[in-house]
Amino acid sequence: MIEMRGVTIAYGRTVAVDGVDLTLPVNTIYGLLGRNGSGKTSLLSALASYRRPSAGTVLVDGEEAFENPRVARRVSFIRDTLDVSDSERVRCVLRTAGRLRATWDADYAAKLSDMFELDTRKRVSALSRGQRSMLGVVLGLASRAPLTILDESYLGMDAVARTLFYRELLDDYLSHPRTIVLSTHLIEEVADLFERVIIMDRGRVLLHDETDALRGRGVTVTGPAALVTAFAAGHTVLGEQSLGGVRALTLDGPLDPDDVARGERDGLAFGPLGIQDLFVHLTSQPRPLEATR
Amino acid sequence: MSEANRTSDVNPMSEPNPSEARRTSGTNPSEANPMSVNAELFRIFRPLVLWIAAIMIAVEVTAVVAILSVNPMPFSFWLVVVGAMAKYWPLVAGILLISMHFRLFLANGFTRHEYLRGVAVFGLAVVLAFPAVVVLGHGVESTVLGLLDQRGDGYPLFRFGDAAAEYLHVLPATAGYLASGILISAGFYRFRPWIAVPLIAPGALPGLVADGLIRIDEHGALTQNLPFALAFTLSVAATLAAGIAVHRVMRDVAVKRTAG
Repeated sequence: MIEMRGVTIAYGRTVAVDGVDLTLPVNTIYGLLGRNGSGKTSLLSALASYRRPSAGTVLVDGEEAFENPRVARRVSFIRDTLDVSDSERVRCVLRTAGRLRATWDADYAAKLSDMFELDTRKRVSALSRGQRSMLGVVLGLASRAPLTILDESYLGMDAVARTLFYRELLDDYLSHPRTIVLSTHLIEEVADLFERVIIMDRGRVLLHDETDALRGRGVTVTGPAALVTAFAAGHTVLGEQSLGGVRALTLDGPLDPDDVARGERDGLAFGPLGIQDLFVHLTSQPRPLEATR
Repeated sequence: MSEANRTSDVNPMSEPNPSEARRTSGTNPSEANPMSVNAELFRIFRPLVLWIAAIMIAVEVTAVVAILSVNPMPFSFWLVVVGAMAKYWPLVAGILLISMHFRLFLANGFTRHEYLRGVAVFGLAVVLAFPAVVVLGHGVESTVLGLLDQRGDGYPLFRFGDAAAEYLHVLPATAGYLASGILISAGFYRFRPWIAVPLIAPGALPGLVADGLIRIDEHGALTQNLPFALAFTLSVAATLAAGIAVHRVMRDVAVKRTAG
């Protein structure tokens, strides 16, 4: 179990993370969502003991995490900028990780490098933005760390590489279950991977729940624009999309089954809530609808 | 996904199983064990040390041959070049230890204290070995020039009886400059430039104190500006104070993307 108790991170007078309490069951893939400057990276830095919280503590299995070798060994935190030497060749970076990490899987690192077509003879400084992200993914996944944190690891990756990454992440997670925290802005693209979602805004956790439960918090109604508009009357609209005469609205809250049956008879289609719609709705409000912290 | 979670009965936050790691790594058991910080630092610096050693020897041979073509050697070129390198290489190494290598180890599962302990062991080895290289090289140079009968009037003849004194006149500056490099770099790593720049002055003290109090010149003159025991003690004290300051600065520093 990973616990954050009253974690606050301040940079001078700027409070990046404000008294966050979180309990993270292990063996789970978490999606950490938040707008720019919401405190995601600061929170992850505290989780990985890269930064000592200004207040509060991070506990792993009941042990204080900061400067704890037993915990440090079990954490891999991959930042978008990569904590490697730019002058090193990729193969040297991978070998170094292999020497320093007991859980490093060299064969898997080689497989991932091949899959991403990462030229291991290149120096890190010669890699493109996307290739650096691929290297980060290789370092993160092949470390097989019980707590793997990937902070915006998709940056610069093309669609093919991202798809390979998501597929590989899921496959490897299923064969080697561990706790993975993914911070991302590409919400819809990755949402299916998440078992639990944490949404941050202005340094606080707005929401932390199972993805399935979040999807059940609302409904997407699709159909002829006029019918959808009429059906949505009286409901809180979280998101909206229109194409020609077809309109899709995301409505907050569970619907009455009778209303759903009536809508289906009228030709409306109902689907689960989009996580991105919920995220946009929650984080674009002047005041959050719900603050579970 | 949830099913996968439910069916897993292993605790992923438990200690890594070394035998499992070895199976999955495809390497032999000894390779699967994590390397210590100091061992990895020696591995990282080995190519650098070998290159510098090769360059030093090449420069020494070339320069000595050039000088001998004009007249017998009037001073020890080895003491000039390698004596200076015994100060400035540790200074540069100290800077690199913080600015380049600190985050590498933290990113691979080591704590700040583990890294600092590893740096201390590595630094101690550098401090003990570099002066020995200076003294041994001087001995070789002196012997070869003697065999060639090319020692000039001012050349500092190497005597085995003076080796320990020569060693102890190089060691404080090596230690002081290494400590200064680490401390100045730590200042830039932790603080913003307008704080770190003024801290260069106190950070430089260990090197300057040691170099100012005890040194050896190109003519082999062993110099101390105070009684040797007192000068040596002050140099060591300045270096140890820098070590304590480094610990205070780095013990809870945030792992930054770059120094400064």
